[in-house]
Amino acid sequence: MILRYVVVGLAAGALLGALAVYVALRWYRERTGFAAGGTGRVIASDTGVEASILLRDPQLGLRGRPDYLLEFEVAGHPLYVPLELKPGRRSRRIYESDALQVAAYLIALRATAKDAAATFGYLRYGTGTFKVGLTRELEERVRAIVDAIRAGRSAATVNRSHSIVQRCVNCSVREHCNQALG
Amino acid sequence: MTENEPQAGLPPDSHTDVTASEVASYAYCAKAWHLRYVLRREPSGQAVAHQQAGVVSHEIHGMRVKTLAWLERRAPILVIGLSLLGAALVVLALLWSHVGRMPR
Repeated sequence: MILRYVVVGLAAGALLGALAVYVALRWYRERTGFAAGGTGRVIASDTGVEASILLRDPQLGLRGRPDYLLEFEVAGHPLYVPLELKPGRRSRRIYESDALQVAAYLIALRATAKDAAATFGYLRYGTGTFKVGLTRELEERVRAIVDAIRAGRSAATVNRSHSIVQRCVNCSVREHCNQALG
Repeated sequence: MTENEPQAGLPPDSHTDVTASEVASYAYCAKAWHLRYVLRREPSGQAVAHQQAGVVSHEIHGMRVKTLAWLERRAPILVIGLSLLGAALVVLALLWSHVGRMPR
């Protein structure tokens, strides 16, 4: 009789174990934003999962290391997609500065991986994952910023480029700024 | 994430490159970018703490991705194996009770 209870207990344990593995898998997929199947393989990362990779466009003089570089297989060919983490963000919409960062990775990726480079990347916020496509408008904006940065590097001063009080409130160098709002 | 730190093995002409993080910083505010990247002003203590929290978040995410990769490699075998084992033990327990009730 006792042996029968032991067998029933083991059966319950095994079935609960299977359920626990399944639940853990779902939990990790949800927490990382790496959904089943459609996520591709991590081939480079800046978070310690794999060695990091430097993406660089030598003509534009633009470089970057995305948090993850994912490899998908499309019709037998690799497709590389950058993913950038912003775990502190709790927004339901993409911040322009984040979209431009991903766009910069995509431009550098195109120069690095040629035809295997995707024209989209991902942004992972604390609230979810967003897809960012490299539109012509976004690319032109990145190029304009790269030019402005080059000019700004030799400038004695650069002026504030927005009129949003909240940006100044959240700014990390606010205490050094003589143009801060709010 | 670490692209603005000095990196060994960079191409020789890459030290004047603009980084993707700089692009994001400039898009946020040109003045803030200039203060941080050109004039090298130190960020506030709160911002440094926030930045460190971000580094920890990235490390946690990396560990979770590693665990996920480990689980994804083993989950099919574990789930199927444990389910089959559980089912076999349930059948064994049922048979046991059935055999126990059989007239001798």
